[in-house]
Amino acid sequence: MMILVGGEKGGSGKSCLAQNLAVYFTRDKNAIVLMVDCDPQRTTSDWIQARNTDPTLPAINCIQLYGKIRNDLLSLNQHYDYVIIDCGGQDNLALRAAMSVADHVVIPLRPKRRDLKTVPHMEDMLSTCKMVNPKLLASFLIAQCPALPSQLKRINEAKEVCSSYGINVLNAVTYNRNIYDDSEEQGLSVLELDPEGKAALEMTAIAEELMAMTPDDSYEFN
Amino acid sequence: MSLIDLKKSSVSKAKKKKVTADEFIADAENYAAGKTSVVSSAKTNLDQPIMTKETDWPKNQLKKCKSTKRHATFTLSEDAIVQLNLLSKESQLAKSHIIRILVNECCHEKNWLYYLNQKLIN
Repeated sequence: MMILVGGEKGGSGKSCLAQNLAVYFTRDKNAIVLMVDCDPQRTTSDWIQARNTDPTLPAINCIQLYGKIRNDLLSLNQHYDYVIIDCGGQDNLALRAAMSVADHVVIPLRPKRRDLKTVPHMEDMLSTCKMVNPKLLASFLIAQCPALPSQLKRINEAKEVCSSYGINVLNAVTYNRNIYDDSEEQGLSVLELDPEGKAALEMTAIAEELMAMTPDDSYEFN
Repeated sequence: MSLIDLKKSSVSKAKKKKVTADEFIADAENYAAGKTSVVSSAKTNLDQPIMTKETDWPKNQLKKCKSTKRHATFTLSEDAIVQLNLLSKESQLAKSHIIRILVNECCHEKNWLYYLNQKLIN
């Protein structure tokens, strides 16, 4: 299964989500996982490097690929249970190539105007992509939400904005928590640093929601 | 500030142009270069006259739509003015609309400078 974590907005937590999903499938599902880092910033590659210094952690393979990577991904997908692709925050060849073959695309967005303004272009791109990849399941994830109860309205509004474009929005959200940064520094996942913590529950909820989706084979989003 | 104004304002779905996987991927370069992209639904089709009445537009869109064009002043010869009036009368299109169509056609020529020179010679 190929899961793409991408989008046009930088800093929305794409690498963090990709890394935590990779650990979830490796640790909780005993799966063989490959991470594909398409971001020239190499955030995920650096995280894997930090992770490899600790032999007690379950190993995750990672490669860097750029450009027209469609055939590479199709080939790699045959050798791994899960291929998790981390694409940098821009519409580029790698993002489109990955989208054209992925089973899932998850687009994290913060509940901020500047992030939500990328939704129309993402919808255009996703609906065109459906013509070449009918199995694609696309979801927006509202990420790095403010934890104050007074900000709940803002989170719901962000979900409403994304839903109005006809693309699925995950029920699960992530909140702005220091543990995401702390775990990344050490090459860990929040699932490893604090398995019972709130962040671990958020990541598990996202993975389980993705896995519970019914496979699609349609040329349009409903 | 509320985020609700960012909701999709129109529910109408424009039919997407069919593309292959390779075209879809390569199109990222068009998007990056600011050129017309196959995924973009906000493309203006200058071949068809736009007959939408302003009263049909949502109030919040009215201001935006108005700002997509702006006034421009050019000097034309008397002959060109007569010909443009004639074209407008026969086609029942606004003169500005005819100029937009002609500019658009010219720009879609691969070698637009050569195309213009040929027109000047003829």
